[in-house]
Amino acid sequence: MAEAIYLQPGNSVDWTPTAAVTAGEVLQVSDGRAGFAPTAIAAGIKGALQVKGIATVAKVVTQTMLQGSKVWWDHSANSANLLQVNDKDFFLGIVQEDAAYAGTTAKVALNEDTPYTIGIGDGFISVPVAAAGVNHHIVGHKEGVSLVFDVTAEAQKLDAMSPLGIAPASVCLVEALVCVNLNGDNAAFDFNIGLANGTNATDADSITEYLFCHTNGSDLNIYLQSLDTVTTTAAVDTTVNFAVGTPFLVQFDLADYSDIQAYINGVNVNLASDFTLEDATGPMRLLAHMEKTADDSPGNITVMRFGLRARAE
Amino acid sequence: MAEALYLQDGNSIDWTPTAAVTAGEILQISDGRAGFAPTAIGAGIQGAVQVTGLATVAKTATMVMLKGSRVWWDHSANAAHLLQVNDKDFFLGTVQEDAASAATTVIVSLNSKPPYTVSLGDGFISVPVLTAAKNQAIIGHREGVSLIIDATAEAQKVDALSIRGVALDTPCIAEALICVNDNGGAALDVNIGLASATDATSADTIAESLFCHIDGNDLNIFLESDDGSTEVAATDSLADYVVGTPFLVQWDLRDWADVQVYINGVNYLPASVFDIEAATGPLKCLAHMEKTLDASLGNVTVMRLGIRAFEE
Repeated sequence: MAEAIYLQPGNSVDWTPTAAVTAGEVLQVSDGRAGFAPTAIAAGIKGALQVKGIATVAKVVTQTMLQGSKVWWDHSANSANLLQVNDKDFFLGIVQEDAAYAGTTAKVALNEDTPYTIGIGDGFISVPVAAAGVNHHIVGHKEGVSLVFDVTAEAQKLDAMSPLGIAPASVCLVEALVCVNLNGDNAAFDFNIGLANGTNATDADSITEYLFCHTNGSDLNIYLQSLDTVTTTAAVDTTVNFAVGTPFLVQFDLADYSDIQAYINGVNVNLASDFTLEDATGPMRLLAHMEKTADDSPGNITVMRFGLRARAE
Repeated sequence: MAEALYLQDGNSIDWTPTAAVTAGEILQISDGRAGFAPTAIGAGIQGAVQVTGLATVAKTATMVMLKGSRVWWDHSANAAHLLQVNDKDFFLGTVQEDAASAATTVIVSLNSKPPYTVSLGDGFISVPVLTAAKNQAIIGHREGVSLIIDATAEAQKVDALSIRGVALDTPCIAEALICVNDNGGAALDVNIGLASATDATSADTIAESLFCHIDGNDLNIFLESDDGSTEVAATDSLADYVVGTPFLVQWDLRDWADVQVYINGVNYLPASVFDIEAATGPLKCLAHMEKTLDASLGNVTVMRLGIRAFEE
């Protein structure tokens, strides 16, 4: 035969289900993509699943889904979710328009995994600091980074900063999926992730412009803080806690630099505080920064993905 | 409702602009992709922007854009550009046909980012060399690697060599996006490009290579080649880099007897004949940083290093 013969455009794929599929059902096809059945398919009968295009899908009613968010299909709840858990959840696509917390549907571009405008996966700058430790590590991933302290009793710092940043006032969504695998065991440990105009060899609080999600050693609270040339909003407890070993999603919606909205796992956690970068000069880069003062505290954090997605208004 | 309802084919996306959009205007939609408006859209009126397919777009008139190159939309200049900078630039797509330096348009496959044929992102081989250093590091990225040498006064070497390579005379374009964060002292050497192997102490001793070369404490970008028969020693391209600013090196290997090298879209040393025709290969992607016994620092982020092969 010829080396290739045209078969299908690929917007839908053949599918012969074992059990009957109802019209509109979402399921995972054999190459791992999400598909949905525009019409019902009987058991054992070949039908077709749509794998491209925009679809209106059911969503979990306890999450705000910001435009540009990646969503997974929650296999057990049969709805779109910002987080994947350890069952049969699979990647669904990218949200096209903001969907309110109580909304029951979201517009999703199926199987689109569009790149971040600036992503830590595009490469980052690190300047590790340790004097005697040999088991501290910075490990890059596809879209993230792992930071690992050893238990040498000394000051250490590990960081990952994007070479490129974004000009202040650029409308964008910043997001980080963070998994604390082993938290620091006392207050000598600090972790910050978000936007910054630089890094620091010892203390992220010394950076002159930033917007951070912050965690402390021996503390499960998730804090937020910001600093520009005019306004300081000190670390505020969001009252949302993380669980060691469970990823949490932090999103900063920078539609208004004078009142940045922050979301953790799809819940708006701004409280009464104003987080602002209105007077930042930037450029604001992605920064993940883990530090400890002289102490034998461990620390092990996986930033599974970390990027910003800009958009026109 | 059903779990999902079909809405659109996704080749174009609904878009309601705050300000009026003119026909042909390029903008960034909410999921980060580039889109262009085939027809004008009034302020506050729902229209549509195209996000797939091929488009002829305005380009920066001072850059050669080789086919296969990734391009970004320069938000401030309203033209396709090989480099993204710190403002509102966004990824546009991949160049489909060579566009000359003076050309004002280029054909781009919108939002398409085909994988490299061979890339550091597919995994690489490293054999770090150190004795006492504590802050040396080799950090893999999606398509690149960071190489870090610390200030311990000793010989050190960090490297990343792709597992696979390309055979002699394979038409291809190799490219590296390099950000020198700390260029250390004179004992430091950095070589990035293609090579038949790596070396524990000095990249100059590798039998076959095609390198962009950086010396410590020197902002010149050098180019060199060696195929075991013909050697072009490191020659100053006369292009300089800036610490902390990424620069793009592209090697056009459509003629292995006279490889053309582009830095940020400009053809450098066109009169030099970088001839690797006698190489036996395979040639692999290599990023290699070394220093002789010295306290020099070195910190380079290779944001991407890959080879894109194609039929001629």
